[in-house]
This record gives sequence, C-alpha cells and structure tokens, in this order.
Amino acid sequence: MKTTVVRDTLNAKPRDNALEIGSRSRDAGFRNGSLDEVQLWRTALTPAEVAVHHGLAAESLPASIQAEHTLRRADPAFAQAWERVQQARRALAAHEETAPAFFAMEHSPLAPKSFVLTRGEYDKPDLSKPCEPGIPARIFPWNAELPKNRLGLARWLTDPKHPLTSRVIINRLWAQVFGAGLVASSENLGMQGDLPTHPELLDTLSVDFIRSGWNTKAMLRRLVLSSTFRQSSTPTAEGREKDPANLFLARGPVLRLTAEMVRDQALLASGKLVEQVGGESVQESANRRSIYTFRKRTAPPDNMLIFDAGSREICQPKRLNTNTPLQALVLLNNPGFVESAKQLAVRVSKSSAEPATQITEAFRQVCTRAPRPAELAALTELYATQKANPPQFAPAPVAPKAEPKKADPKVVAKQTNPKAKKSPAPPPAPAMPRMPADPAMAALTLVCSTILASDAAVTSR
Amino acid sequence: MSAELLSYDGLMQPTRRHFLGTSALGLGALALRGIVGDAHAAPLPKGTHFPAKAKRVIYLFQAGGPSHFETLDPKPLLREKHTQPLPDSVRQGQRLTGMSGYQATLPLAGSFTDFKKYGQSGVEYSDLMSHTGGVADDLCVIRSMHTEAINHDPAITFFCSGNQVAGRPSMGAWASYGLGSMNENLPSFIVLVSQDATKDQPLYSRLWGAGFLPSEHQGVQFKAGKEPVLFLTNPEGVSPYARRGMLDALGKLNADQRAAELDPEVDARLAQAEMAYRMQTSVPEVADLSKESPATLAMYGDSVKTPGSFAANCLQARRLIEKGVRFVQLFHQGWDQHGGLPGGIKRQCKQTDQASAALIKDLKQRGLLEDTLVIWGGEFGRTAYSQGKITKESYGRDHHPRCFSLWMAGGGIKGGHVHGQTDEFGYNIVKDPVHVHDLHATMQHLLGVDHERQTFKFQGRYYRLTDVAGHVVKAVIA
Repeated sequence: MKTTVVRDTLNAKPRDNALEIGSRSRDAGFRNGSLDEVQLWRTALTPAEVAVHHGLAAESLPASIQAEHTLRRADPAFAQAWERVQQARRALAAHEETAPAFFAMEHSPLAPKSFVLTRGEYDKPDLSKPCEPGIPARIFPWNAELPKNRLGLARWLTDPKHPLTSRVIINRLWAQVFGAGLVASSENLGMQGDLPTHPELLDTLSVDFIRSGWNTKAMLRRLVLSSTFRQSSTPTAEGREKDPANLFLARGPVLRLTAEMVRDQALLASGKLVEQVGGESVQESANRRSIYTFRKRTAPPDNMLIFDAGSREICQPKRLNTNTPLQALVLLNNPGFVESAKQLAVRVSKSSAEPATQITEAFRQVCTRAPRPAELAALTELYATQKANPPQFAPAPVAPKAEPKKADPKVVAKQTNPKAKKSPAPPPAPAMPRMPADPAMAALTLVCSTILASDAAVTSR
Repeated sequence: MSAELLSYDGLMQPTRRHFLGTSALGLGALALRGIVGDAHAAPLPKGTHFPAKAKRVIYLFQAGGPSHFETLDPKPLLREKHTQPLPDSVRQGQRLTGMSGYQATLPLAGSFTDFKKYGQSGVEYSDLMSHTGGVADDLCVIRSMHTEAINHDPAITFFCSGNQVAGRPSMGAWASYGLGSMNENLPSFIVLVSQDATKDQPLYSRLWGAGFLPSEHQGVQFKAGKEPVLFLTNPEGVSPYARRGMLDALGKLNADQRAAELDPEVDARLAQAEMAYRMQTSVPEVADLSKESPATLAMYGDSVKTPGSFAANCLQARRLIEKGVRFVQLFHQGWDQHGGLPGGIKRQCKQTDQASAALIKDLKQRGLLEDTLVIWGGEFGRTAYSQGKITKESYGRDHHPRCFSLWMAGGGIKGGHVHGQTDEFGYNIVKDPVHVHDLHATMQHLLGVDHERQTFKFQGRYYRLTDVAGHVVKAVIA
C-alpha cells in the first residue's frame, strides 16, 4: 500500500489533554477526506507487525524485516536495553518539561521561495520573478562571500568601510546628548533627510568610533566631556536672535529629560535608586533604573507613555518631546514620584535642622545646582504656609475583623502544585500615596514634590 | 573627508527619485501640487479645510465583529436555505480563515431573529435592535462596508488607525491633532471601555494611541470609579489648598527660570500644570452622572446605574462632548460569536441597543445631534455559513471581512437612509462598496478636514489617516 506520511511527530501536548481526530476544536468535520480506521498503540510497531496487521503473511516478509522483529520482541538483552532507553527518554522528557519554553529562529530548509508580489498583494506572487535577500548596493556593495542571511546582513552593516552605520549611530548618540543630531533628521540620513551641520565632525567621530571597536561608552564620555557640551546653555539675547535652534552650538544643549531619566532622577534624588548593573528584568517597584523594568508592548506603563517613551510597537528612531497636563499629574500624583518626594524629604531633613538648608539640599539633589534666591524664597514660603496648615486626614475606616478563613483544599493544592507554571509576579497595585502626618515633614514633602515637578527638574540645561 | 569611509557626498548625489520628489521643477512637484497644494511646505495649521458639518464624534465601537445577519442586514433567503451548503458560485474560491476553512461543509445559517421595518423611512432592523429601529429616521445604515483583515487584531487596528500593523495614530488622535481642543479643562480625545462586556477579544491602548503624533493627542481613558483619569487624585493629605500653594510656588520657580534661561517652553510647562489642576475639578464633575434627571436615566436603561457599563458610558460620552471634548470613543467587546451565536448576540444587543438609541435621542433633544457624528459598528462582519455544528436553534459564524454593516447618525449624515447592498447570501457586496479608508475619509470630511491634506511627516514621508487611499462617500451626506 502506498503511504504518504505528512508528519510523524507531535511537538506539543494536545490542547486540554484531549486528542481530537479528524477535526479541530471549532470545526465541523474535515474537508476532502474521511477517516477509515484509527488505531492507537502503546508501543511503536515493528515493520513486520505493521505488515501482518495489513494482511501480509509473516513468512512472505524479507528476512531482514523478520530478523528485526525477532530482535525487538524476543531478545531479552534487547528488551532490557530498550527499557533503559525508554526510561532515559521519559527522564529527558520530564526534564524538558521543567525548562521554560524559549523561542529561537533558524533557517528552515522548507522555507517557501519568495517572489515579487504583483502590486504588493500578498496573494499575487509573480512566479516568474523569484527574489532573494539583498541590500541596497548603492549604499555599500555586497561582499559575495557573505552568507545571504542575518549573519551576512550584520557583517555588511558593520563593515568598517560601511558609510552609514557609524554615522547613524554617532548622530543618534549626539542627539541623545545634545537634543538634536548633527543631521537633524536623525531618523533619516538618506536623500530626504537633512544635511549635516558639521559634516567633518560627524566623519571624525564616526571613524574614531569604528577604530575604537564601536565603544559606545567611550564615545558618550567624549561627548559629555567636550567643551561644546560643557558650555552654558543660557543664550545671550543676540545668540537667541541669530541662532534660536542652536545649530552652531555656540551654547550648551537644553533638553527635556526622557521618560526613563525623569523617573530615574527622582529615584536617585530620593536615595532609593538601586544602582545594580545588568541582570534579569524587574518590576517598577524594584527601584532599579528604568531600562531594567519590564515593558509589555500591549500594556506600556502609563508614566512612560505620557513622557513620550512610545509603546515600542514600531521602530521609533526619534522620540517626540511633548508637554501635557498628564505629565504634571504624573510628577505630582504618581505614587512612585510622591514616594520619591517623601524619601527625599526624609533624606534632606537629616542633613540639617534648618529648613532653608534642607530645601537648598533637596533642590540641589534634583536639579544639580543650588537654587537662585527667588527660587529659594518661593520654596521657603511654600514650606512656611504648608507647615502652618498641616494635612488633615479623613478618619481611617475601621476594618471589620476578618474571620480566619478555612483553607480551601483546592486552592491549597493549586498553590503547592510543583507543576504550576511559574510566571513573574504581577506588579503590586500601587496604594494611594499618603502624606506624612508631621507638619514639618509634610511641608518638606510638598516642597520636594514641587521641585520634582518644576522645569528645572525635568529639563537639562 | 576621511578615506576610510565611503564618501557621504557620494550618497547625496541626486537620483531620479530625488528629482521627482523635491525639485521645484520636477514632475513630482507638478503632479503633487494638484493634490496637496502647499500643505506639505509647512505643518498644517490647526483647523478645517472647509466648513465642518460635525464638530465632534462619538464612536460606539463594537469589538469582535457583530454579525450583520442578526442586526442590520436582513437575508430571508438564508432562512429558506438553512443548513444547505454555501454555493461555490457565491464563495468564488475566496479564502476563509483557518478556523472554518477546513470544515467538511459550509452550511448556510438563517438568522434566528426576525426583522421589521421602522420609522417613516421603513429601514429594516432586527428584533434585537428594536430601540435602534426607534430612531431609524435619524440613522444611515451602511450595508456595504468591507475591510482588508480577517482576524481581530489586524482588523481592529486597521479600523482604529487606518493600518493593520500597529503604530499609526488612531482616528481620535488625528482629529485632536488636526482640529485641536475645544476646551481648556479636558483632553480632546477620551476613551471609555465597557466594564459589563464579555471580554472575548482583547483591547490594547494602541487602538487609541497617538502613534507618531505628539503624545498629547493620545486618547485618555476614563475609568469608572473614584479616579476617572490616571493620577488625577492628590495624595492623601494634600488638600486643594496645599495643591494651589504648590502650583503658586511652581509658578514662581518657573517665572525665575524663564527670566534666567529666556526659554518660552518654561511657560508652556506651567500652563500644562495649571490645566492639570483644573482637570482635578472638571473631570470628577463631568464624570458624576448622579445629577442626570430620572427621565434621562430611564431612557438609557437600567444598566446606566452600573458604573462603567455601556449605557453609563453612552451617557458619559454625551456629558463629555457637552464640555467640548472633540472625540469620544467607546469600546464594547463580546461580539465574536464563532459558536452559540443566538445566545451571544442577544446578550450583546441587550447591553447596547437601548443605550445607543438613547444617546441619539438625548443628543437630538439637546440640539447636539446636528453637529455630532455618531458611528456604531465593529471591525468586520460574519459568515453566511455556520462555523461548527448547526442545529435548528443554534449556529456560529466565522469572521467575514468582505461585507458588513454599521450605522452613522448626526453630524451631516442623511437620516433614514440605507447605503450599499450585499447579495442575497450576505456574502459579497453588489452595490456601492465602502472601504474602511472611505469611512475614515467621510468622517474627516464631515469634520471639515480634507483627508488628503491632513498629513504628518514621519520616517521620511508624509502619513495620513487614509494613507494613500480613501474616497469620501458623498451619498451618505445630507
């Protein structure tokens, strides 16, 4: 009988541990076919058994098939060895079940060929026009020795002679530090992008970057230690008039901190920032730098979205820089920021007993400079009025005494089931933040909160 | 120029595309001028291109793909042919989903519910939509909608942002970006998600995201309960008096910073903080439905008293547009009836029919309907044949993007009108197809916006809600 085996393996457990045959969960029957007979065996059949089962006489089978059958079914040494193999397989399978699932890509030998799609329609390939992976050779020619896969692409992109890669990276690093790239359209260095304001500078940095082995940290250090970066950002009236966008870099940069910086800075000022480098991702409550916190594309954290971090659903080469009421609400009311204000108040209250000194210290922690006299006066006045009007709390509702709950055996079983899937614990719902009751501490907390919401805090000048 | 890198200048030599695209004398410039005028030269100023018929939009999005057969598009033939196979002449070899595409048969399923004619216009609505039928003369039913995607996520992303792949700005974000705000106390795009819905298919914040537009245009979700907007409530112990004091101090800090740094952006930041302060009063006020009259509440139905229900959100939507919100989008999940459709769709209509009709009546009696565009509909329709088992009483329907129905009202829309027609099987469109891009173009047209001229430059090119497609459906405009 001619047999076609389409697939001979099950890759995953069947859904709901139920094996469906000839149908799927929500189908009705299967198309263009029917089932004649289905048999399930506990063991793999020998070819001889299959043949006999389909009506062939055992004697008619070739000697090699018969010999294999005899070996597998009658030889005690084989049976023992087989049992050991089975045990080892079960152990392997059990071990594999405990490992977390992990997806990796590989080139499939079965990958379908690609064709030019007629007018871009996915279901209208032009079979006369097969296509292969390729690169825009006008930018940089392809080395025929490279494999036409992702490795080849990576090698092509990072070839030291590639004219774009290092310039693009340098331009973005420059934009991170100076607010705008040497090519203003940092998302587009092509025909429709802007021309560089300082082409030779871009070239020099790009070449040095490649020579350094693409050392990002060293390059960032070089940028922030440059005399260009360290200039005062305050424009003269003439400078503002002649070059409002600071294209000629005659003054230092002004930039709104990124979403991550805004959060990290508040944590740092509060003294709660955990300065651990690397490791697994953590929840926001872990007080690590924002680059370490979990990001779910379908549910991006609100305070990140509100400060233009984007949802990461598409590549966003350049972030926008908005200014909205929701940002003010985050800075003043988000539990994380209120907590930072509270901790900062605690921290500076220990540095001195003198309110003006405490306020100056808090301002310095957040804004990295001492307050000007008018700023200190405004904050000192806020402190005095708030201290004179301490917070009033609604009486806390008396919680009814909870009956000790009888343990539900099902729940207990579920909790202790070692096979239960381990997933990262969901972030605890942030409790509504609460002011300290002590009038002086409450007033100082409000001052710290005001500093965190000020322009001087969220803008680097 | 370094010898190690290929010349950057070399890359900047003009190409044919460059010539067509940017040369003042190029063909591209000539061809484009007719289409876009000079709008690309500078960012489009906020405002309209021509007089608007609608000032605002309430979009009642029915997520999951409501069946047109049991709501807005009567197909008596399917009742006669109940359980008979879908003719190949109707299907015409079109692709089906992987869910029902491998079924042995595709048995036709007739609607379990009857249709009646409503109003002077005599437009037919199913018995499950009787309240909606009650305002038939104000509605325009489009029975010839079609879309490009056959699964929920790409289809709803396409409907809400004009593109199947996530990341483009949503409809409301475009409206906010193009038309600006009409009030000083509330965001211009607000989203309300039903809490009483069956959550069969997920919703994502990208459906009301700003994409690459400035984030101030992203939809702000109003939630039922104590804090309708995130982070609106002051920390415990911070009185309004304390907050006022903080803002006054903030004003002084920023005034000093402004004087020292000569930067007007500092003023903008203070203005936004002051708006946040006003929102702390205006939002709880607008979210408080308790002052609505008993007659109004009764009109929306019992569930209006359940915070966050579809009915409560319809009423909330009216209150928001009264306060000058530009675009309010409701989302009601639960329309994905692959099996057990009769029970499921009865529940869905019970949750939405009365309140949707009440919203129309309420807007009308307040004189708001004439310049408020209301749209009711989902991301695609459902198949004429049953998915899974079919009996006399029950059946399911798979996703169907080739035709579906929705209704529009107010804001310059022709009332008591039916646009477009599907074949007797409700499978293909036979007259006046309306693509999702066409609906977007029409919506923008009613708002006074030329959909071809409202653009935003991103990643080197100009984007629109309708991207490179879309035609205004003039026939639905009064």
